[in-house]
Amino acid sequence: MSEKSRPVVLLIEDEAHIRRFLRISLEAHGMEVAEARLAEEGLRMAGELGPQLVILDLGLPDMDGQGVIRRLREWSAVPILVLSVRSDENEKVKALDAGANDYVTKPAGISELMARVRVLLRSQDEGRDDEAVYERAGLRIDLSRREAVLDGHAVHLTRKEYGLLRLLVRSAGRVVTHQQLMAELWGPEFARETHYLRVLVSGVRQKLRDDPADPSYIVTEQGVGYRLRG
Amino acid sequence: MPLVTDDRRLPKPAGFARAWENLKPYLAATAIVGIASAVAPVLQRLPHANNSLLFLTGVLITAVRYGVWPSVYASLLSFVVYNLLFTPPFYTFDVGEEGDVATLVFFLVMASITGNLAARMREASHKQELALHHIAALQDFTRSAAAAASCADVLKALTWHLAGHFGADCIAEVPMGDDSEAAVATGHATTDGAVSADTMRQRMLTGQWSRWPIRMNRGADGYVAADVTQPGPDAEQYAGAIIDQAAVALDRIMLVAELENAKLATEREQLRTSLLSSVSHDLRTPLASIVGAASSLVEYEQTLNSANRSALLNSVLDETHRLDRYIQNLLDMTRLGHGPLVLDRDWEDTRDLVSAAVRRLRLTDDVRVKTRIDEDAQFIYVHGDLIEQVLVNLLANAVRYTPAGNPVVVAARMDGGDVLVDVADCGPGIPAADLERVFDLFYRVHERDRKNGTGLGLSICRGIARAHGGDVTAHTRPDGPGAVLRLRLPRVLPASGGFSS
Repeated sequence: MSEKSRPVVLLIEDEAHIRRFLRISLEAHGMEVAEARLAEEGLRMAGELGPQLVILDLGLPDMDGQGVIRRLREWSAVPILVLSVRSDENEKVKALDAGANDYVTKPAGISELMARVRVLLRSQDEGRDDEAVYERAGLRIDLSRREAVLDGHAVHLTRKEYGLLRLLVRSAGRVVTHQQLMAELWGPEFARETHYLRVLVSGVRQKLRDDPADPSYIVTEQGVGYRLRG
Repeated sequence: MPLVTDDRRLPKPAGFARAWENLKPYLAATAIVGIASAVAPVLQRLPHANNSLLFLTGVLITAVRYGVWPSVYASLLSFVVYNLLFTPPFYTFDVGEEGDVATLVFFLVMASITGNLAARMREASHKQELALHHIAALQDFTRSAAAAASCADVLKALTWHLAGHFGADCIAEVPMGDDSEAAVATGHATTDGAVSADTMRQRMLTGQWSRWPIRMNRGADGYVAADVTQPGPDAEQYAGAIIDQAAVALDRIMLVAELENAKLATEREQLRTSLLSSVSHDLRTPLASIVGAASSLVEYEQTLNSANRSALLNSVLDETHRLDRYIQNLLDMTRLGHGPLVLDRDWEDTRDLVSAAVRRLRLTDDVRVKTRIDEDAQFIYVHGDLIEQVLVNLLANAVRYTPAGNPVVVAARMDGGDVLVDVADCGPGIPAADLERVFDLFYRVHERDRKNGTGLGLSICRGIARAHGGDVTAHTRPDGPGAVLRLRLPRVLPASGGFSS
């Protein structure tokens, strides 16, 4: 985390108790926390404070969470972490496709939540460029050199397979939806043909010797997309 | 019903009467020939008159009126009489001239041919008439079957038509699936409508009734039976046609009913799904706070100061109470849903009920509740726990919609004989069209599952208030933005006496 100033996190959540534990935990990690109970209030504060991260509850009393994301995205690229009690995949996918960067389903433990928060803050620090290098458990993917090395041996990847890894590395630690991957790799007209994607991911996992049941690298977010472990 | 009187429908004559019935055409034929013989001598005076034509006319009339055999009889009789009276030698059966023999033979042949033809024509026209009547009756039936709204109606029309057709009692039955009784109807020709279907069925099973299946495309076949031993082919055909029509109508009604049932089942399923998802949403919200606060305590135990630690612990406690409140709501709902609620009324202080409700809500600092209770509305005779739950729900609802820093106002006063408790918020208010709908059990669900799942809370409030003889209604706040939810309780006094008791 950069030393210059404490990052500001804006909480838009109408549940007082959820705001409370989030504020305490975020402050314990040296972040500054601003709270809003209602969507309108939150949108106004986002404009005034220019936060480094917005944590947004999808079920606000005065506006649908999807609407808040769209309104924010009209003028801001600030990372948005969505909180939702819904286990409904459609809602998550809709939020992600509307421009949210990641989601956490309530009830979730604080460590899972803080991990997501850190990933989002870091990604903002680094920016999104092809300089990124991903390293984890014997795997090193260097986007500037367009290579993937597993346990010291170069992994031979097709153009599509490399494309998939590049997209996941750029969002390492964050979920990337099926639709986003399909649109990038095959074009928007294929966005519904997710079986191509499943075959592709299965091939990459084989080459990376990644066990789908207990993945070291590519985690399946059921019904939503994939996440490269951060 | 304009059905032709079929010969078969006539009661069968017995003994002498039957003999008379059989003899009548022949007697008539004899009479006709007699008339011809009487007229013949008069005719003979005219020039070029031919007596044989006169007798031929007689045979023809017999044929048209009485059929083949009486006409053959008439032609034989005519031959004999003609031979006896009008060919020389007169009054003997001898034939004088050869030409007369030929005349007589031709006469006989022509008599039988024309008689036969006429008889057939008569039969054909009779059949046609019958067929026309059948078609009219069938159309009549089709109309009533098409208008029928239930399977029983179709069967009623069917038995009524067949009873009229056969002049006999009828019964029709169609099974209606596993879990409902069979549709049954009876038609009465020789009994009155008071005879029950069971009696009729018993008579059918013990008697020699004719039975036809009603073949259905959907579901099992039914039957219709009539108290006739041996229906003729015409009647059989007519019954077949009318039963086919009945089957079509029954199939149509069953299909409509099936579709209706399927629709109802889907709606019920949707309601159940909505309720389940709302309830789980309601339960998960406090759970999320509990898990979050507890895991924060576990993870950052060392780094937290004591103020934060106790704040998190309080969160866990408060939210546990909220969870309990939701569960209480669910229990109340099942109580309200099953039979009449038994009220355990006692004197309660409105102030106590409101402050208990506020305490149970464990509001955070950014929401204030202002209470204003008139003195005469202070004591009410109600079921305290239930009214407290109503206040909790009304307050929770108001707090949810009130922006930070604004108060929720609770005011109690007397209005005529009723106690009114108004809970006013500073939220966006309720659209006029939805003032009644907010009490709909699933109002929130329809509203894209905003916050806290169901409108369970408000519909429970209304249920409890109505059990007290009162109601809860929603209004637009008169003094600014926001909604007012009004609890109205008629002032009830204990049967045993006043407040002092």
